[in-house]
Amino acid sequence: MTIVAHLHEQAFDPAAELAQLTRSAQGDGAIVSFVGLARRADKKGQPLDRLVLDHHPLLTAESLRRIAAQAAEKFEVSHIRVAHRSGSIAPGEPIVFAGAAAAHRKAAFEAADYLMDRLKTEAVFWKREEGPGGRHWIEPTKADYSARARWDR
Amino acid sequence: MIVKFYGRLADVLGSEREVDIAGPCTVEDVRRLVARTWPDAEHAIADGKVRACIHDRIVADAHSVAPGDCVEFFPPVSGG
Repeated sequence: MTIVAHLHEQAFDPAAELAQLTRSAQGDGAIVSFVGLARRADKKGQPLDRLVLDHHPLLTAESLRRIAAQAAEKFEVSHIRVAHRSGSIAPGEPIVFAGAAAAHRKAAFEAADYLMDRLKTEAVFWKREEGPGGRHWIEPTKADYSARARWDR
Repeated sequence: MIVKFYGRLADVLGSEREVDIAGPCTVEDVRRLVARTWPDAEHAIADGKVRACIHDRIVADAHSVAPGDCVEFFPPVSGG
């Protein structure tokens, strides 16, 4: 079992993350991974220059490690890998990588889904979009909180 | 006492401020003092979704603040 959760203050390579997870997963039957990318436009279709994620000096990395460890505990997975950016992220650049390896695909799919629902609502970041129209802070939506809550039922 | 702000709160208040607290107090008292000292931030700091953190732990508004504590105020967090 490996549980990896890294905070990156500079751009990271999701392909390298997946390669590392694949190397760890020898003998497993499934890997599921998700990559979140910074969008080029906001919800209203207005162009964006960047997404900026502020982080806490201690609690952000701790929240990533906690979420990764709890995913490993909750599902029949053998490896969990999370990479998360902070700082200024250009459109098209990766924000997050969430991956799980398991003996069978269902547990890997569920673990990756769970990781993202937790990260969306509990990872300690403060996120804003910046563009010609100004800056706008992004907080979890009701749908994000509902998606998170379904794992407790 | 040092008070730190994150996210949209830092837009209004800056990332760090010093406030004068005389005697024992609670997180709620610090919130009120911030609101009184910087009225522009009154709405933002009073928001129930804004949580306080002392010594890297989220604490309730009734939590006692010791002299020398740093209180950090967190608007809702969101990653991914």
